[in-house]
Amino acid sequence: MTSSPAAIAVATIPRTSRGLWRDAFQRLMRNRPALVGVVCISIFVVGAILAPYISPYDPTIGVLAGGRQGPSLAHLMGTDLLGRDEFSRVLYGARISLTVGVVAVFFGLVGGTLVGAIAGGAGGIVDSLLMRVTDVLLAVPGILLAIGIVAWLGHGEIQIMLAVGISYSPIFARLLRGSLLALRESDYVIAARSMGASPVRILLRHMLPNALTPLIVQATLAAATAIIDVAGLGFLGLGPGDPRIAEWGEMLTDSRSFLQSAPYLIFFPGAAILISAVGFNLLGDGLREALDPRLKR
Amino acid sequence: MSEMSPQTGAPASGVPGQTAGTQPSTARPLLEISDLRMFFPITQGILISRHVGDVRAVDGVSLSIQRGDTVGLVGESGCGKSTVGRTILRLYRPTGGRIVFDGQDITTAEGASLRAVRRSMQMIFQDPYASLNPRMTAAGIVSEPLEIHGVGAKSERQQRVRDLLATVGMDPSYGDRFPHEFSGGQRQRIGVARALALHPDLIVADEPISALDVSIQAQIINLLERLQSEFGLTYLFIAHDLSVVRHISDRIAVMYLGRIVETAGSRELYERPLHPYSVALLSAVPIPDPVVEGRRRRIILTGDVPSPANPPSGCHFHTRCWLRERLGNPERCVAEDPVLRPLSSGHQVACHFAEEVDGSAEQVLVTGRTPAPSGVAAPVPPPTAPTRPSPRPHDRG
Amino acid sequence: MSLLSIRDLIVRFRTHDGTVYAVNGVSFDLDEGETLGLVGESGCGKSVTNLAVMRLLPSPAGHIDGGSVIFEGEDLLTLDESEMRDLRGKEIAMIFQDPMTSLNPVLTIEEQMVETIQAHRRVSKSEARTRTLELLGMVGIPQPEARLKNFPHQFSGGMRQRVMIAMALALEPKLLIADEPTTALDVTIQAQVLELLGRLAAEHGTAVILITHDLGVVAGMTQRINVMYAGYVVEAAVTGDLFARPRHPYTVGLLHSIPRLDAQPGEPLIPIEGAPPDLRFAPVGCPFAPRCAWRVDACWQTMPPLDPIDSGRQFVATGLRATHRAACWNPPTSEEAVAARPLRVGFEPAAPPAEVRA
Repeated sequence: MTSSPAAIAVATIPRTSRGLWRDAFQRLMRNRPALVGVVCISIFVVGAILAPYISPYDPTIGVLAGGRQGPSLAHLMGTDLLGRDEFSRVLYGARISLTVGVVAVFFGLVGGTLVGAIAGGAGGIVDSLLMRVTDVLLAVPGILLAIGIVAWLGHGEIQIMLAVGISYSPIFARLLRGSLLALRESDYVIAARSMGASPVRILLRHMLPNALTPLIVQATLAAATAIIDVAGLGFLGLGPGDPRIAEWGEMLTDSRSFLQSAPYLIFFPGAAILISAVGFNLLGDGLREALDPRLKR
Repeated sequence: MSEMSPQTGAPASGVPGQTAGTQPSTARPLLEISDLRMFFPITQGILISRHVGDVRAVDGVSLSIQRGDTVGLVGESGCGKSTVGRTILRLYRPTGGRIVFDGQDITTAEGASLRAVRRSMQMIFQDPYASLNPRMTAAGIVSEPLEIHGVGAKSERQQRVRDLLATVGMDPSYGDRFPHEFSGGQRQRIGVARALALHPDLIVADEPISALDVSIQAQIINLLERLQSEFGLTYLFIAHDLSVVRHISDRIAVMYLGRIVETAGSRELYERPLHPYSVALLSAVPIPDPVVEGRRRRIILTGDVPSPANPPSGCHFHTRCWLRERLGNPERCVAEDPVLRPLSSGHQVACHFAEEVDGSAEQVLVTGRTPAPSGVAAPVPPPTAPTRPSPRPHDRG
Repeated sequence: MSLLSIRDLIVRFRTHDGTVYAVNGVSFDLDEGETLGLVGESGCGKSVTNLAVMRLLPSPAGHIDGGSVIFEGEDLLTLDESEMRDLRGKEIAMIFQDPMTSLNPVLTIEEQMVETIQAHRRVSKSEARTRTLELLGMVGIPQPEARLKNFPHQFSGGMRQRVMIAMALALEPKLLIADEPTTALDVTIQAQVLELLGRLAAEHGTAVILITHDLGVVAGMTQRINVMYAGYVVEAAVTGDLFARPRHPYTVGLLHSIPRLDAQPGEPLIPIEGAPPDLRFAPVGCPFAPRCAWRVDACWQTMPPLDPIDSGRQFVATGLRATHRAACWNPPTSEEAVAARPLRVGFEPAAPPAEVRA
């Protein structure tokens, strides 16, 4: 504090400096639903990684005679039509759903960020054109768009990632562009300009770091729907293509005629989809609260 | 108090109307803006934007600031004062007019030459919460100007940052904290330190204390004054609070709807306001003294401020002007733009009938003094129609 | 009997970061027709006090933890929500700082005002409409019939505030609480709105609590002033007395630190060093102590009571003869108040006790 004849003000006790990220992390840890979400996701992530080691059976090999058995000690989630162990298939299915889902979101992020940054940075005709293109993409329902792209590109994991990713990129593009436009008017950006900072420096140092938080939240929430979309594509027969690979959506397709006789075949893959999607949702909501710069005081 | 050069650049002389006189020319002003215009286009259209009009935020402003002075730019919301500040800093490209900084015309400067000039003029912002990047440390914020202009080696920069923080009254060890860990007053100090980093000549302070608590405002005002004498700074102090502006400024320019209506020394403006708007503005400012307040009578302006997208023709103030009403609504106010003209040394007014204001009852009401000898000598009649006395709900006595 | 009598009001907020001690024991009275100024900076508790009176605290965070609010003989804190609703608007009305957010942006002015009137009186729509026109004329809205169908955003800031005043006075309440009513307005508009407010309050005999941080505004508008700091009333006096003979170091500091339009040029501002306290810590002793040049040891331990500065006279709570009170163990003398610092030979402000809090 300033020293002056009247300075009798008592100094403040220094508090340990807390970065914004650490602050956010602490807030996240206090948020119960978010923690539940993290736990759900972790279960599947761990299961997916350890699948080769912990799955009791080979997911692709089945004993026909033992098919359509309900859950038992030998088969925790029962067996499917071809006698394959459902539990192992769910575990291996996690690998596909999670990787494809997350990577798809990542593709969408990259594409969307590029488009958003260009539109927000360039302005004018470029901005208008890019936004009209994203409008058109947004007008088509996401799953239809993904179907169209897969139909065009063919079966396969990469193709699914691209398809789902492209269907999400318009949202990210809009989000980033909106944030950038708003941030451009912030006082600290204007301050940087008045110092003579180059546009690149302003974008990288001042605008993007502050525009990323809504994107992070949106990406996490998008992962939830991506998992569902990937399963949906699998359900519609547009999955990875190899019938031996366990994929949650395809598992649902295979079993849909057996809703009454073997409901566990629908229940377990369905629950897996649900729990992992909800997990990402809860985490995304928690992140939104944690990262929200309502740190005005 | 330094002389001000009117638009033509000729030194002002004692008698109104006389052009370039026999007085020696004054030192070159640090900043001179001439007939500055800044219009923001209003557009319509989906794919191709059509230009349908302009917000005339700054509509012909001329001002010069001498080195070492503090010039206050005062006016109410929408008058364009912040835009003037930002245009001077070339955050916008002016629609018209000229900006000459330290002899160099920077009106259309771009790129490297503009960057070089930027070292010499900096800005302090209004909102201490919005003017600092929340993701940078205090030290990072203050050292950024040094980094951008490649000043010194890293260790020298760090030392300079510590010195700057100490200069503005902050503990240098707080440098590694983030803006959200500081109070409003402390954040504003960080903003001041940032503005000082490059040893600028001119600092444009855009409402630097409006967002602060009252007990903190005085700290920052005193800080700014101390820094001015310590570093030889020149200030353009933009604010809506006339009391603060009067305290800190040597000279004051009053703006209304994009134009300067009066410029004078700060004492002279208070003792002898010559523009009807200035008179009304002064009468409206509350004074923390119940005895004085009890004696005052306010000049209440009728109606709302017109939109800067559609300003009134001629004198922008004519739609609300008490003097015009008193004079029977002369046509000249609508037909002709008043120009800033000197009425006495260092005192310029943009009003066709400014002479009527001098010595008028309204002026006396507002200042509580009889007019200075150079003004038109007039008897002091009792308040007439345009001034509405504000009754108090209680009696004094 | 006073119109409003607040005793030892305590309000706390429960947040994630802990408890915020917003109001720590506030007491004052208000007579019918009086205008009382509540002055203080952000965080002093002036707005929270009045939200508590109206029982409009954000819940569940905001909680009245003690005290009583007696309005016309009834303790408002004991009423249930529907009884409070009856009172709000009809007996006690409030106007806020930002008319844009306190007026519903999707309803026309007519709809909002008619709704307010009909909520409390059994009148037909056309009667309510007539009354609305009357009110709009009273607050100086030109051509009120034409503007009835306008939305709030079609009015300027000053006009919106006038509409707010019209709505507040629609049912002729006994008490009007104006929370920073002109802070967001330009100074010439502020003059208009304050003049209107003062005139209407006088005409209708409405008591007004005027909350603001602007000492100039209260100087011209109020009969009495309470100065608040960190959830306490630190000084209470008749307006003229407060400015002429301030007795609390905070008031003294404030008066010396605000620039005056009519000051002599070159008169220095004497700021109050330090910053307002963090309300997340329970107050121990006087909250102003860290910034006070007159502090003594007792100031660090106990909050001084709001006591009359002249112990001899009889205590008067309200009106133009109200007793001048200050909450200070070591109030400045008149000379010290003028000089803005202690003048006693050898006086040093008491050092803080071993354990220091920010």
